[in-house]
Amino acid sequence: MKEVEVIKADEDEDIVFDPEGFFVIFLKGGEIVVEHYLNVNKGGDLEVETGSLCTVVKGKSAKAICDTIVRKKMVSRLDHASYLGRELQKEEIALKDDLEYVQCESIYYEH
Amino acid sequence: MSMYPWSGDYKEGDAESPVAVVTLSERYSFKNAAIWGPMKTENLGIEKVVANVISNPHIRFLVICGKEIRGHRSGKTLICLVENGIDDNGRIIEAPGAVPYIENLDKGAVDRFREQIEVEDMIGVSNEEEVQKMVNQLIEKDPGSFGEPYIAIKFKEQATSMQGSTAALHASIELSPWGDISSMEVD
Repeated sequence: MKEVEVIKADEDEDIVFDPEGFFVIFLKGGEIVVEHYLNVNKGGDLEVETGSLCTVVKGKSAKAICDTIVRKKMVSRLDHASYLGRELQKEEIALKDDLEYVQCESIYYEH
Repeated sequence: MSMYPWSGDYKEGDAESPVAVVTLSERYSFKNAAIWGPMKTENLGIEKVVANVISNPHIRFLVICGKEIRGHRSGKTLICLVENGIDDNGRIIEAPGAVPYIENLDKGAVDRFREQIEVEDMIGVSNEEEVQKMVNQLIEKDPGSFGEPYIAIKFKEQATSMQGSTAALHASIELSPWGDISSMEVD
């Protein structure tokens, strides 16, 4: 008989910077807008202190934006890619249902 | 199409109004202001405010209101930018924020911003009506346009295409741009 392991999911607490940079995500003009920044250290204590804006990806579909970002190799870490996928799917729902979207925050339906 | 070059989480009103409003962590709506919206970060958030404000020379007053962003201190950092400018490393002089750096704008843009606008410090004021009153008062003091727009950042639209790319359907199958399905080599 085949045995398959079942494990309980838990979250990682540490945030590890992606060497390929980070993203600022928002809705504008009926589109999802993703700004891709390259990491910048200004000589201070923090590993990443700001970002140099490199590319902007726009569209209405989370999948199209994810595909573009992966194709252009803007992400290199699996945890970063999965975070991005979650945020973009949330944003697509907010766009379609006319909800407010703020990066890293939950979206709410008014009852 | 927006007159402001750097897209972001803001609303646009009367393009000829002399007042812009930064609401920090709050989400308000104003009558007769040129542009308004939240601003969370003391680096990228401030850069967007600077780039968009100097693109509209009618804006002569910047109201900063709402609850300050803990840790970032982006409201106070924006005031420091206007009062002190940046050093050679792009750091906003005497700013209290953790990462108060200007990276995506040149010093000319910062200098123009400091010359074009006057700050009205309403940090901590979370009464929307009170802020609207200030907007109305500042409109009465409008000194007129600063001159030509200063475009600090430009975005070039580029058509994207799926041509030449493949999409993975499964770990061992891929779809070409022309619809051909083929097997991928799997270790």
